[in-house]
Amino acid sequence: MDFSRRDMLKLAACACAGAGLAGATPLTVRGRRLDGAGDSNTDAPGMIPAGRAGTDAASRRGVPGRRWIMVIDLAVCEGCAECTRACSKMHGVPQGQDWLPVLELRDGELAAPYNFPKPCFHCDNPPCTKVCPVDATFKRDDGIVLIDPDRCIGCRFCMVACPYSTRHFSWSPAPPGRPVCNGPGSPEYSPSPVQGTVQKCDFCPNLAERGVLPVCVTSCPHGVIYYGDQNEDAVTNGLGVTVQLSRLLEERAGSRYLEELDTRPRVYYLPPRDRQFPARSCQAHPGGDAGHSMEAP
Amino acid sequence: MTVLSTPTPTPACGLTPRGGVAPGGFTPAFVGVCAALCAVAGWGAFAYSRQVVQGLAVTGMNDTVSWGLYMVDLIFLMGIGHAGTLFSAWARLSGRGAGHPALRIAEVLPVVTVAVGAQFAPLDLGRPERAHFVFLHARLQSPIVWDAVAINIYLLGSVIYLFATVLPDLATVARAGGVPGWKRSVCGVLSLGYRGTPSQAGRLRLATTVMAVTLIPVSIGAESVLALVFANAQRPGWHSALVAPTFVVGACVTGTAVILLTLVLVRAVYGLRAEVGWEQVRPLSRILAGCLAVYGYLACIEHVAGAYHAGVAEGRWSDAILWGGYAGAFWLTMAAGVVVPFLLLALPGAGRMARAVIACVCVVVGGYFKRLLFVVPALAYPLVPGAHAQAAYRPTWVEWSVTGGAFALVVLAVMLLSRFVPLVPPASGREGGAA
Repeated sequence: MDFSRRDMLKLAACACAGAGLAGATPLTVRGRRLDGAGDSNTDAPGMIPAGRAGTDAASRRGVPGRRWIMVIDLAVCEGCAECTRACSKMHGVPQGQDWLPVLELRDGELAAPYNFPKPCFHCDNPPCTKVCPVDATFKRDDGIVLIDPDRCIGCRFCMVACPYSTRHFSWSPAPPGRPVCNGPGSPEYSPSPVQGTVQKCDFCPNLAERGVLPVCVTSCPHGVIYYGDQNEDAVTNGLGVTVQLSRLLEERAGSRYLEELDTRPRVYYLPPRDRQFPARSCQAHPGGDAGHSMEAP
Repeated sequence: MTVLSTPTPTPACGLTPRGGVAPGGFTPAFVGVCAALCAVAGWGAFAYSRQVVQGLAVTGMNDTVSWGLYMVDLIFLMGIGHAGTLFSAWARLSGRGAGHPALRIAEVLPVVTVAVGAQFAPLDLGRPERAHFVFLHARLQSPIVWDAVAINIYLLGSVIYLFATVLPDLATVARAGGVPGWKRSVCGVLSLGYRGTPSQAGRLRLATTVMAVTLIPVSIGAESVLALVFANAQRPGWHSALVAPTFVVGACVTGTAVILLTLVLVRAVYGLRAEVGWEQVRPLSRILAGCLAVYGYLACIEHVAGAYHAGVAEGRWSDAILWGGYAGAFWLTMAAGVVVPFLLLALPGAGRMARAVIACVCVVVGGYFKRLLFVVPALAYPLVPGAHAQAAYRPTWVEWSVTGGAFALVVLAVMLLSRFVPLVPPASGREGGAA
């Protein structure tokens, strides 16, 4: 299985050369399935490759040559929260602590509400890593911000510092219906949150390294979420569509959420223009409630 | 004049002719109070054991309000200590309060409150067994690392300072008649052979002065670094340069009130009506009134600027405090914790001592809730609302019990210390640091 995702994407890029912005690239999708870690991930969390547990230095450095990036197309988000459920299932996240909630945002009184999947933004200027007293949360060379569950002391300073409320704390020893996980854990993957430590969306580094798309990407029925490598200038969504990152952001006016905070997120949003679905009602979300709306309609 | 062994008649406890300042014995009443405090502290320990077993889920904290009462306790207890240090250093260095009866209290309080208060940092951790990682894997960018260093330096400095100032008294107790033998030997060992010779007294005076000078910036620095834990986060109400000055002045407010209350309590218990009169209480009351005025001023600036907010999150925060869900608590705290005590202290007229005591009680209770209103609303109104499922914070019995236990521990420690060194030092022991 030396056929890495990078090779796949290169092949795809060649195949689609000149074919326009959005070329279908079944190869990538097949590559994902060939890796043997496709949809079965969501069914058996214990079977997920555990990253490079134990090789602390490697998991802190990241995948050489990569700059992982995400683009979320708000125009086609239905708000079905399939991504939320798949992510929570795979990471063993307790109810109400979803790493990827779908919020309903509204940019103004007269503006229409829209669905807003909110992962960790893996900021290039992350406020969370600066305040960590023990270097438990760190920024890797491949752009990903991770948490070492064996290092985290549970002071929750990073939760306070994150302006996007991305982080969650494992308050009880055993979340209801979840296996107890007291470590040793890996920054790249834990089957369930480690008690007394902080967790968040990890950009699925153990999958990305093997050329496998994150489960939120593959579970989305509308291909809302694109994931890829900024260095390759290519991102792929769950429908197997690989596009050129720079052209996508240029033509669809991609932007980052709360740019003025100077956190420089690695997640870009395409505006909810000509959107295909109305904003979902608040109760559609499993762990959600009325609190998931920015302003009461 | 600096020699300790001035010829004094030695009655029962034998330190001064008036005797009331002596470290008393373990009377039934004293032991009873200690037992009650031990019970409260024990209950707090039991509550903490529940937290260790069941995780921080037994607290009211959640993903939205992820810091709560423990952080308030930390700020509150640290603040009491800072005021003691600053008052003592000012009194000794300026020479104006050299013989003030509250000096010892002001020097004992930092050691006790900082030693107990600092425990709230590891106590608030999800993984308390990894607390030493803060030194082992320290990242210098983190204000928590600054804090851990600053608090420990400050605590060490306070212990040295207290030790330097009680040394003559320990020596006196070691040689006093009517004191149990074991207590005399303990004090004898602790007094390090101090006899009050002119050269010893001179060196001790120099050491005390050096420590007093050193502790002023250390104390203000430690308080400011604690404030930076909040000011360095992008939160409405926290990300402000006003936070550190407010912490320092707030510490002076609550701390001075605690010193004054302790002094009046010691006066009542030992019957020191002659040694501690309004003349002695007045400087504390004036300092408190002045600090309260500055504290109120800072609060005004903070909330007026907040009302003309710089962003949607700050606006939500400001609205909630001034007119929304926290408004009742906020206005009550400002009125009963700042305005009313200031008027009680500042207005002329009769009953000044009683008014000062009432004002101090108001200030201490109000100061606690002022800090609660600093920590919680800023977390309850995040930039992206609804990102976490839970939002409301209500402290549980565990948090209140641990808090109560800590405060009981502070009182207990002060009481036990008072059995070895007099809380109001005898006149002959005062020159140790007097300039």
